[in-house]
Amino acid sequence: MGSDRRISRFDNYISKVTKRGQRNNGSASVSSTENSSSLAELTLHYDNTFNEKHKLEVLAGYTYQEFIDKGFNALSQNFPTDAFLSNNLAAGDQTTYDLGSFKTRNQLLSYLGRINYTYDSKYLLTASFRVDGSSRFGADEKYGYFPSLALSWRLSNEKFISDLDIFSDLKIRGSYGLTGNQSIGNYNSLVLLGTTGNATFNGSEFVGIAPIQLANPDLKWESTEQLDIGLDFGFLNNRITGSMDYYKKKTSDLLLFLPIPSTSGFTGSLQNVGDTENSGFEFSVESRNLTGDFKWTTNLNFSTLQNKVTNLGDLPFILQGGIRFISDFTILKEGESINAYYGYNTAGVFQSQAEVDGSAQPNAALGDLKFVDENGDGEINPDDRVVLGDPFPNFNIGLSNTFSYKGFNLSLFFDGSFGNELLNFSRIDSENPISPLRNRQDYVLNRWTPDNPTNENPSFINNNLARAVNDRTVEDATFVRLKNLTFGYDFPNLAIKGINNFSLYTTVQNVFLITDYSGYNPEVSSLGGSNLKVDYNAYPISRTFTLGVRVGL
Amino acid sequence: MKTIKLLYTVSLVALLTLTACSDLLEETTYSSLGPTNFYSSAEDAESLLNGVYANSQGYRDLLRDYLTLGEMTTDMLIERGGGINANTQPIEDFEFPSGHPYFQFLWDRSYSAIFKANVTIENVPTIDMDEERRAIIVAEARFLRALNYYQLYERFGPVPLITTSQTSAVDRPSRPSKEEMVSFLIADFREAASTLPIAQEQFGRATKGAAIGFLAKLYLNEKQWQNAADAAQEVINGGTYDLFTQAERFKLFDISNEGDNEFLFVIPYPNNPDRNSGNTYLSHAAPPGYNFQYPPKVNFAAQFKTRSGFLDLFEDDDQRLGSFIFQYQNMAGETVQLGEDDVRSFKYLEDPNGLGDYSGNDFPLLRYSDILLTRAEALNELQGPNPESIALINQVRNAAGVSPVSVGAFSGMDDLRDFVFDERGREFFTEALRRQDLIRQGTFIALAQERGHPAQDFQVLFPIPQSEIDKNANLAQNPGY
Repeated sequence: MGSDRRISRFDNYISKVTKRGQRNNGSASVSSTENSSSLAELTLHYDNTFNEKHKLEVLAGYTYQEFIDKGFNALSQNFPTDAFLSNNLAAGDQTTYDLGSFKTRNQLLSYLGRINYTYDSKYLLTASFRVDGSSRFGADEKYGYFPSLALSWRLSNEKFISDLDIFSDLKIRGSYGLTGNQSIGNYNSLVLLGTTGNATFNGSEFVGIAPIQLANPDLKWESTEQLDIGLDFGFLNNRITGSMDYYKKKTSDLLLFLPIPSTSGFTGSLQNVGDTENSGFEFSVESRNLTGDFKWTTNLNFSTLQNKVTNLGDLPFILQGGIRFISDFTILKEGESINAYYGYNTAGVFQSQAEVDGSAQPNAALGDLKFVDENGDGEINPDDRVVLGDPFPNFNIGLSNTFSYKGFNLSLFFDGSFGNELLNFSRIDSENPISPLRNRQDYVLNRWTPDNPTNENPSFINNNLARAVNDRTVEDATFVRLKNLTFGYDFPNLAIKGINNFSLYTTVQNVFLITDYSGYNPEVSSLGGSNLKVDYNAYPISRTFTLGVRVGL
Repeated sequence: MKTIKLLYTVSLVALLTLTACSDLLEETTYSSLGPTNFYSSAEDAESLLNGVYANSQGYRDLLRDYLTLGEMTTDMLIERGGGINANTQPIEDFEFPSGHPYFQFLWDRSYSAIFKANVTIENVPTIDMDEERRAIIVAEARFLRALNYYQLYERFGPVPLITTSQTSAVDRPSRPSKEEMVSFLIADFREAASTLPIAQEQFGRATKGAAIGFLAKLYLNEKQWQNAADAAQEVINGGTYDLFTQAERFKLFDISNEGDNEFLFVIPYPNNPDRNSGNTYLSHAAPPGYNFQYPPKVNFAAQFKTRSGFLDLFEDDDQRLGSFIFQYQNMAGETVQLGEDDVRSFKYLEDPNGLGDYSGNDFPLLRYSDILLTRAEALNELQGPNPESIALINQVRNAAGVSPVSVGAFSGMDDLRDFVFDERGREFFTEALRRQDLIRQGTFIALAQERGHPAQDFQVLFPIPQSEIDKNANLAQNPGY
């Protein structure tokens, strides 16, 4: 049994002397939330070894968890003085009071069983089965069933391998299993009614109530099926060690807030829609190249990633994304990567009136961008949007080398990402500023003019926000970076009592970056951890120089 | 010993499981309502209806959106500066990109209101409450549904007709024919009018006059002249409405005259507006450094300006000119003249209770002067210049303090038609009716071309929002887009 409780309180006061506070003559708010969870867990554990070679471990269990979230918030404005801060909300003007409170609850219930079996430290088997129930799903869809099986074989413990005298370690692994995902909000399967704005009659407001979401009684677990095959190895007395892995992961019944036609009364609904597939190969090796006075160790990681949508039900595609005046800039579509960038291809700049007249943009001015009429219907419209790339690298590499000689040591760490694209919003802002007074990037200086008939940049006279997501703003974000360089010296055999070791070192982070990407940082994701990746006014990564002294007592 | 322990635990697990498993995962709601504990009382019925009104009435930037689509496409209004220029300029320039956020927003909002109206129409009849009020609630919801469809139709042409609240995520409705759309609207306005009262206790609610008035406007836009003239006459005969003549004409839009019986239906804003419920028009219209009468107010970088050519339509003694700011004293005390295409419409006079960028001025959707001019226009289309049309026009002109006109002054039907549209311009600027009027007059596209925009005939309709097209394979885009 266990219980967790977290209480947080947020106080805010906007003083009358600030521009914002002046408007409301002081504004105070307090909000508090309380998140609690209780857990009941019953497990049974059994392990035993038979005949010295059969090792068996069995686990069976039952868990039940309940989560309750509660909150309260209050706002008050128009204070006689700044003195109270948020400690006397009643001192504000009663007509400005704004109150809110909420409570939600969800529950999880699981039955689980697991068996570990090892024979002679050579064959290992783990089998498990879980039944997970979540209150968040439809009445008949609460439970998901998630089995898994893992096998491994330590070949290096077999006589026929050890006799070869090549491998110091060798192991084959394989696993297959299902896991479930229920990380959605509560009550998504139900029809809910809630307050939906106020009506105004006779100059006063009256609360309106209406259904606030479409019911989805079929809402169920999202599940992921994963197959993993791997090999661990070591040669030459473990001078060279490493592993290789191949995985394939198929996620079905994705929990997605699906945009739906607004004619339904709603713009979206949480649905189990479609499947995605991720597969990849991972390889890592560590090699102690030199082990004498001069030591050299190399670590290499290499991984590939393939990611695509394999099924979207009956939907041809789903468009997502929205930042400021730009929306629907990524696409989910069968056969494409998740949230691939979606927009227009460009083909240089209009140089002559004859070129304009013969084009799909008869109203364009000289110096405007020429767009590609992908479907050849003689006009440029949203049907001409195509996939312009995706944020997933084809492969990543990490390489570190460490050298040491006597007390000196040097290490370098490179990483690189290849074949990924990134949507550069800073470039969109620069090419299509919402006001002519906005800052622009320096390449705008090399713009098209009658005297500078370049094909590289348009005249930037006419904004085209509707087509701002194009092959100019979706950029190749392939890069190689020397991420870390450290050089140091360890003073040997210090004769100072009480100090065991003493070293000096210097480290440079972000030493250099090789990329064609025009923004500051090709690795950035301004929208956080989601797979909808953009560079939106991201802060550049700094280059840091560190000089250090390390003393061990 | 081990076996005994095992059995013991297994039976404990089984016990818990048996007692609990179905109830333990049941969802309980605390802060929201479900259909089982709602749809039951008179209060619930009123709350449902309030929800329909909430979606059909005002929001912060309603005037910005309505005027951008309804007037920046015409000879009246331009917008310069500010972040919103990225959205207003493509409309002024007749680009009409199908991904434009205002199209999407207005589309979503109307269909949300229609959904809520359908919920009300379906669920209120079974609630046990006062029968008369129950019937009126349903009629109000029906009126609001028709009004939202009327606005959608006016902007986008025929749109999917959803008349049930049993919608689902997989529905892919298609568009009706123009005839189906129009007869649906006529039937809904008529049915609502048959139950709605002549007057409501609370200003802002739907009345019989509003339903018949919008029906008259629908007929007029459809060029069903006799029906338009008859429906307008029905409103006139009701005797509920008259023109505001209690003070100078432009003061009709002062906050103190809200609720005047010239208004058949308005988008009401509350007496004590706040950041969510007020309207932001004035912050868009005020010229730089404008010294507001009731500070503190916010003045946006965006500038809504009146075209000088439009102002030439007014005679000097027209009281309606009182709505415009031709010159002003700025905060530094200097007098600033507003020149070519720079005069501001302050039709909705400063609200003393408005604070920052929000004020409580109502936005009229239908006024009695529109009913009078509707009948005048329809009769001219049927008979050419005639004494009744002239008398109706003169009622409006008298109220505005300008001299009456006579039948003899018009050479024929075309001449009087042009005059009616000029009079409508003088009467309804900043009320977002100009686009609809010019389309009816047949000059909408030609005037845009005269202003140098690449307007084409299909642009009398806006494009269906692109994301709706993307989400619904059965929804056809308007031709040309």
